[in-house]
Amino acid sequence: MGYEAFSSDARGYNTVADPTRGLNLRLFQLGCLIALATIGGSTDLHAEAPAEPPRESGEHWAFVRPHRVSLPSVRQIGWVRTPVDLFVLHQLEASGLKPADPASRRTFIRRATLDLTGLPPSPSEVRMFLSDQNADAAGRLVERLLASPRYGERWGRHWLDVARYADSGGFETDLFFGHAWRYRDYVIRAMNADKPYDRFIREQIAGDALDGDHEAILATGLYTTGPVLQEAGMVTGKLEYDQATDAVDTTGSAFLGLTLGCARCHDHKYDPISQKDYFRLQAIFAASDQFDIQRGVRHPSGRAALNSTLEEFEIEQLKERARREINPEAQRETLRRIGSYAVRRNPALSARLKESKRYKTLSEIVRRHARAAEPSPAGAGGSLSGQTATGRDAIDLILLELGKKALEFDGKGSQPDAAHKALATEDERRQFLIEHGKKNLVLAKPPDLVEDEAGFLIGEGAKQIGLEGSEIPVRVLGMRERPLETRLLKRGELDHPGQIVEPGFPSKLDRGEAVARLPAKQWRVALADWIASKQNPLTARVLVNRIWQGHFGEGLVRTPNDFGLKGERPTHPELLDWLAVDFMEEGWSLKRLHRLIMLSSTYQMASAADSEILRRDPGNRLLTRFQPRRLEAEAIWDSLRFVSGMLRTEMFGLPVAPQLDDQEQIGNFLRWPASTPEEANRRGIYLLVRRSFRFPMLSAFDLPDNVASCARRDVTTIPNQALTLMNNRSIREQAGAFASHLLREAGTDPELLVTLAWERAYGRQVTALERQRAVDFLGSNEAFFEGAGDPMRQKVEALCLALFNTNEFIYAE
Amino acid sequence: MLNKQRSAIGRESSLPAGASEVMTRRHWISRVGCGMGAWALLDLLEREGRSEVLQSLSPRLESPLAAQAPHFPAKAKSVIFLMMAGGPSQMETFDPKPLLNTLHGQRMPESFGTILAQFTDVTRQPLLGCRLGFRECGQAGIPISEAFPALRGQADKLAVIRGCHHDAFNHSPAQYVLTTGQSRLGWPSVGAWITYGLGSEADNLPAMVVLAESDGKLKGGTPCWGNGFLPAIYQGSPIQSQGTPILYLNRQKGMTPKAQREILDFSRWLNLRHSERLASASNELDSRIASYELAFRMQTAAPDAVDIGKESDATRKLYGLEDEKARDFGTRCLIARRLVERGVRFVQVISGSGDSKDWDHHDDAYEGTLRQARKVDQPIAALLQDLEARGLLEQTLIVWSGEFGRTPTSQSATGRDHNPNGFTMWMAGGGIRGGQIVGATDELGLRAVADKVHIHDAHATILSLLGLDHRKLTYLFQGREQRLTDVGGDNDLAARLVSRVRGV
Repeated sequence: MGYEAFSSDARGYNTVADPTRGLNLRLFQLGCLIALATIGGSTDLHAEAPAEPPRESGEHWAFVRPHRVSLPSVRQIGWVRTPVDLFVLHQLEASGLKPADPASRRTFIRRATLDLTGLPPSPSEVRMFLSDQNADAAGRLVERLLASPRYGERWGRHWLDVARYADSGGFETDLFFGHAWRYRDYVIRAMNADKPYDRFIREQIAGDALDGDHEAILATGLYTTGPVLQEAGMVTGKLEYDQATDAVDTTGSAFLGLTLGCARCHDHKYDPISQKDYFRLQAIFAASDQFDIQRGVRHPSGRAALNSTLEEFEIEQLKERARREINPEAQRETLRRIGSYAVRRNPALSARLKESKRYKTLSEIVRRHARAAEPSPAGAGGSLSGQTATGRDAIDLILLELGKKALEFDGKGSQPDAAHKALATEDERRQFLIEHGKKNLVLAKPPDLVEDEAGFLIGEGAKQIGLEGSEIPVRVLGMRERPLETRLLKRGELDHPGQIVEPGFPSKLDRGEAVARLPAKQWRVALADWIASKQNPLTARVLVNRIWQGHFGEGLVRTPNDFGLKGERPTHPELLDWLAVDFMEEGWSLKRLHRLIMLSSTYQMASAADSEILRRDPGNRLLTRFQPRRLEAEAIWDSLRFVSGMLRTEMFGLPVAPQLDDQEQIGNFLRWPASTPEEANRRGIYLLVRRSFRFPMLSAFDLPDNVASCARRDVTTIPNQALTLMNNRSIREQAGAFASHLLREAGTDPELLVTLAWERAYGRQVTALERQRAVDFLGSNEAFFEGAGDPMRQKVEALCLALFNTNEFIYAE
Repeated sequence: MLNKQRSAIGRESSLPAGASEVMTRRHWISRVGCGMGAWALLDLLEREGRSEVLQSLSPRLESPLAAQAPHFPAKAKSVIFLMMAGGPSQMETFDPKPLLNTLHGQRMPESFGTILAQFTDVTRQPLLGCRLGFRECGQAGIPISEAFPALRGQADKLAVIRGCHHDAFNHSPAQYVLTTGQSRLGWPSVGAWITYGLGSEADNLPAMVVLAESDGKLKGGTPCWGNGFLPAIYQGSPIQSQGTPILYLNRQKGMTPKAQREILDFSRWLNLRHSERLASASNELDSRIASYELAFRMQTAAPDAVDIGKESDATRKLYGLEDEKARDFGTRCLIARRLVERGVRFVQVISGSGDSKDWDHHDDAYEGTLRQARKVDQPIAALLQDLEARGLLEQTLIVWSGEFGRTPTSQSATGRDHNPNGFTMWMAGGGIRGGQIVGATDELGLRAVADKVHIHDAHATILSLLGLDHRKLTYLFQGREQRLTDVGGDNDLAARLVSRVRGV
């Protein structure tokens, strides 16, 4: 084996002094020139590899800046496609293990498509890929997927987990955030645009203070979408403390992979973060507050009122619906509802409407009695309320009715109402009402009388539609006039204040930045710069690890939100560092990172493994194979709709709230602003996320709780999942739609139908045995559903339901 | 299955080499216990003629809900947690305050200081005496107010803990404190912790069940029975006494049972082929296959568990089912008994949603307490009697508590504000010696003063009675071995509560 000439040191990688380095490089470049050309950027990736930095003995690896490590040598160089493979293969060879065979091209396109877009490939996409004979077919596929708008929806969702995103504040009031979706949309756009990660960090932490893109301020939504205990406002300083706590904990987890929260009550038990360090970070946020940007205004116009915007949200929902509605009847009804909201929220309009109603009702009473008082042909007197009355009594009764009605319009708490209530006897009250009736006997017609209430409301609704912008203010981070004083709190308790703390970074990771000497409005900018810096040892590693995890299910560090001493050490430390340095040097591009990973042989391995491999590498820590994994809740939601043909791909905007019945809403204390069934077929990332009530279907599939940053979702197996996928009525709708699609395409040819079903659901050809079983299934004489209906259609629907309930459907392999 | 290691009390899940050769069904079951899924999978594999794969698969197939041995011998096997949402008044129920009646209408003496209540300033509001009569009940002479006439007959079963306290004075944070130990969101509920620690003995039912009010509303919402950062398998499953007991349990509308079986058989057939292809994930895949069988069997088991039509007329009457006011809570108490009989580990029965219609008596502490107690009194007394008669009381711990108590001072003339500084909880069954009172509030009922029991202590006590050490039941999250009791729970009352010797 001539490749054994590539010597390496005991730690498994070449050092700068290695005389064979040049040779290694040349051969390496032969091996992966094409791949690197596809990835873009410099192919001279390691020419400047500096010497391994001296590591202080005992220094925790993650607190030392990653340095460019040399590429390790391997024997089986033909396997290597991107630098990733060198590190993986090197370790495999050192352990005497071999990588798994490459996955089939069908498996690869399904894996890659699910990974990058969260949707399975369509049959035509599969066919196109299989017929692409170019050497870089995989590269072209990855490019196409990265360019798809679906990419941002998929990877944006991953980021939203880390950002503990939700549309409400949780707790009893579950404060409704009508603004949260703007941050969600910002994240999706940033992902699709491949916004450099260092910029992405800066905008989220300090987008209000950065020059340039005025949309950057939306990124600070990261900090206006956290949990809010609204009642905390009753204790002085508690709301502010809660917000600063959430800000620091989220910042620490999301960007630094550190569990800073541990240091709030006492010095961190494991990591070198003192309680003082923790409060120094809180002091940075003590200069900031949440502000609202109102409609038509570019800049924050006032401190955020922590009010629920559920009603405003429902108005916006109706407005969207009205703009889209094509049925004139339905559109009038929607406009009428918008109009009633508008009128209710506008005192002048509601007064006008009330006056009109009062006038119409009261004058109608007078008119009716005037008619009734006319002598009837039979010659009897006027009849009123079933009594026969004449003269004075009859008039009193009319006046009484009028007085009562008028009092109703006056309303509770009005002056006449109070006067009426104050009267002691029944008789006095009766007399009062009669007098009140007299006063209302002759009414002046209001000059702007509303004759047709429905028409009026529809008109007002239409005006609302024409207005620019949204009722819902955008909530962003801004600066307080003066920073709040931050004190170290003993045991983290607000009522045990200690010394005053100045803003700053954790001393262990501080590089001498004197934040406290900067003007307060620069504090968050300084924090952002400190995190989004090549000097920060954690930032790039943490992100690279997140991306890796998104592709392999496990990160190189398997505790993605804990890079501290209690976290796991990386399985491939040099690979992590190499990727982190490359990531920073090449412009902090996520898409480049995806290419480096996905075009590697490592990513393209099959998932099959023999028992020897399973025994020696049970947890796949050495990456002997590709580990199949279950799709996340949203990807299951999306896949169902994609395969059924029901998925709506409109992007952005208000969250959708699929209709839920009473049982599905057990535990829900507040109104659920239900969308229409069509709206509900949007992608999972657009579903409403409430903190105090979890959407049942997503919850069954391990939706994170969105209270704290979630770096890795659980994958559990519970019978609720089986029940959900079998019996939830929306699954039946999707199965029905899938069946219609198949019947349209295949007619009544069961073999063709089965072939198409497999292609669509699994992206592969049906096997002969499967086809036979499926055709038998369709041919059985069983009635599947009671009641009328085409039996063939029913069976196809049942077949679709069965496919939705297979592991293959909800696994990426 | 779970990818996570069970950090604290996880058992060895891999077999010593060679052990599988003698693996038989009996061996296998004795190893994995009878948790959810285990039986189902076994049946399935046998039906599929794949019993040979059992030998290789079985060690990996241990359900995370398999019954687990406790840390030390347990007194109780299961818990029925009667959660009185809204915050019942201690003064109107189990903690009589004669001085309060004496000082009725006056300001609170300054020596009592102040507390933070939700709406009122307790230093300015007049004190409100209690109009309800108390009587010392049972041999032990436990004072119980006239709001609980039926429960008075069960006084010798109760251990009344009068010195409970915490510091969350609003409903939802306090409901989280009561159910999770933390006023913040995101923490596992006590039932989830217990299920994590002990697994389940219910074959075809969820390990933790929630019986909420029929309108389903609760101020704290689903986190009150959530899994927090624990895996989802430990979350509480709401069960309804009417209609479909478990969400999505019923077949699709119009689908025949036979059709469902055919669909399940067909997808299972596909799944088995798929899992053969993917040996590297077969653990997870096989457990998913088993979960379908379990779900299928739950369709029979769950309706059976809630079918109180099978109970005798006498039992139904005992639980107050003939009484319109008590029927709803009585039905749920009766279902709770049927569930613990079937091995369900933790049943959370909720009275009220936390608003003024139920236990949150800002306007009327007397009438409100009478009205609400009327709904739960007979059912709770019946539950205690019935469990005892069936020999289940010794192994079933009953816990009764609101999320906080109420102020001795008034609000809106005859109501009381929230007060987490002193309130009453009681426990019964589960090896507890009834007829004892632990701890005390001050003379007005404002604060716990003697033998104070923080919710962490109450949780430690509950775990202890189930054989779990609250310091050892941990789960690694955010870099820390988290506990239900956080850094508290040192005042574990279990030993005292079970002691046969009075006054210990």
